[in-house]
Amino acid sequence: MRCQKAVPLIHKTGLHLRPARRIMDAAGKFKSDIKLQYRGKTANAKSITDIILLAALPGAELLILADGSDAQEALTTLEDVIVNSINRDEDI
Amino acid sequence: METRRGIAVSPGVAIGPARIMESQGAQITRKFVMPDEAPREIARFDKALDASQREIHELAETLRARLDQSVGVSDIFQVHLGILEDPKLRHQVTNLITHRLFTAEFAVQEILRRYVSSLQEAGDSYLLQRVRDFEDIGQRLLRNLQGKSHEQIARLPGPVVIVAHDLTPSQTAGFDKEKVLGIATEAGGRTSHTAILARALGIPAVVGAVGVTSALVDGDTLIVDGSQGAVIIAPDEATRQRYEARGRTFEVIEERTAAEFCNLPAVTQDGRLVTIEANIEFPNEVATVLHNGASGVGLYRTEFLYHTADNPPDEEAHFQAYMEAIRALGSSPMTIRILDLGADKFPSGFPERNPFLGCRSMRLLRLQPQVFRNQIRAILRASAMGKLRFMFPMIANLAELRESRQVVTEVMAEFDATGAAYDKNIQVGIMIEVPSAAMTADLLAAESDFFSIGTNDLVQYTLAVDRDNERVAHLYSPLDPAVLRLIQRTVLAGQKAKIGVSMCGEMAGDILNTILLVGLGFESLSMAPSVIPDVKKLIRSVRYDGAKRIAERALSMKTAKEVEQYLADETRKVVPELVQERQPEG
Repeated sequence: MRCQKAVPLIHKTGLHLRPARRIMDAAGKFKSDIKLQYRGKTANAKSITDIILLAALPGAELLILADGSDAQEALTTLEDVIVNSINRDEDI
Repeated sequence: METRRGIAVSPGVAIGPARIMESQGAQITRKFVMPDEAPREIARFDKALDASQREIHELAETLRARLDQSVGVSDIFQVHLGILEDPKLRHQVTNLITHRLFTAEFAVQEILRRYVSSLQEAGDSYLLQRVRDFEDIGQRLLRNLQGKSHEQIARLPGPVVIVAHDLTPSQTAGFDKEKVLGIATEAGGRTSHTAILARALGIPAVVGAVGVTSALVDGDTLIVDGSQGAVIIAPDEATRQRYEARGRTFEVIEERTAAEFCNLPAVTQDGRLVTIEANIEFPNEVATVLHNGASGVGLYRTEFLYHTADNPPDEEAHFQAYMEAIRALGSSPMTIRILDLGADKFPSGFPERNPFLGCRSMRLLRLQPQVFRNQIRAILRASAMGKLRFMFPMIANLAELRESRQVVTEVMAEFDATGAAYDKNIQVGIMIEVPSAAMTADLLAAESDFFSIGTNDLVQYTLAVDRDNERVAHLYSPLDPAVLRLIQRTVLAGQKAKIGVSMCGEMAGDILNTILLVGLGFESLSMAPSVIPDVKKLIRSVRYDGAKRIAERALSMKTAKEVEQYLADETRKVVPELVQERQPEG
């Protein structure tokens, strides 16, 4: 199964070290392929290096793409991490 | 004997043999292997990868144990570990080895170079700081590939003073206080990783000491004065003895001075009292500074909270830090400086062509009202529990002061509405560190509760000199007649308006300036804790009327050099044991 969703990134510094790590940790729990797209670049959401090198700045619109048996669940979880955890600066 | 000036970033004194650390950034030459050698290169890479991961694991663990609360510092290495454990890295490196027959070293360098250049393309200043992290990771891998020992330092026979062009976060974090007595580097600033880690580890350090690596060889005796920003190469016997008397480390200084001047007030012989306070960066320094004889904290810098987190600290993080300080302070006062960061250093910052004339400090907070309010709210909450006051940095005109105070008034109204407790009479002051503020000190004094002069910025803005720029650093002097006139003007304006005028800049921490400052009429000075005993001793040895005459004479002089020489002579007459022969600089 394949699904995708656009999520705004309003984190104050963009996707840097710790936010990147949080996304990677969340994505790592799923079997599906999970990707993030930003300005024509694609990052594997299970790779912290990829996420950092995506260089997504504050105000970015991130497209989350998930493909696999648990794609829907993965998408919901990642959206939740970005919107409710990273964007809200919880757990600095 | 040769003295080099730098930026004092981690207080204390270190004396020991110099050990020059070569920069690790050596270029790997482009080399290839035969196809049948590729598997061996991959095996070498895997081994180096494994060793690097283990090292970082250990480093992060050690840091956690050593620094308990400085979580942010060990987080740097958690991310390094994440990058090394990322399958992407191994995949890309082994690909280059297999398909292009690169040596493992060359493949690692090539991949890390690609990472760095894609970060550089993004052009965001915060991201650019991450370049250093990738370089650090690359150097670690290369070192392990080349079979060099775990940390070069581990093999050192005895304690040394480290001298380097620059240090990576890994190098600094790997230093053991037992083996590394002090650090002197040519590059770096107050907010560099080296500075932050050295402070957290309690190792005296001076950064920005230009030319220091080429001025000495391994084994030369070196003194690093991390309180005053001096690096003394091959000190003569008298200098060495004087520093030895001050003790090898911060702790020793404390013990010795506890018995001497630290508990005595700084009163001149004719009865003028000067309040001596300390500058601090971390709340856990409070106990030490009180012990060292400070009667309070004259400058609490709040930037550290911002350097270690990806996000600006919230109200609670500020509040907890202030409460920690208050618990240690008891009834002693503390002056908190509102965030003083350039946009380039701020987590959500943006690059600027000329950051020092750009959107820094209060100008930045104007664009980040919530960040500003969080800090004000935390200070007000804490003001109910301890003796606090706070000040705005980088105020350049009355409009900025009014605008900043307006926010405070609004926050106070919120507190009043909910009945939350705070000190309704809390003093709100400003830093005088921009020439325009000094020129209009009379206007600002009417709407400010106190002044505190920040000399580093005042000097650089007045003289148009970046002292980290080696080509012009010789023009930098707090004793330049232009600076002295602005300082005098500020003190007079404060006296006329009957508000307190203090100095918390580096200038206040150099005993050669003490007589001048007392004579100019300062009733309060704030400085690095380690110099407090010397300053107290000096103040207790002079007369206020004599100091006034000396200040008058200094203000009539025409060049910084003349003033410097004059003050050194006058100070030497009073406390010869505290004054070293200064080498002419530049």
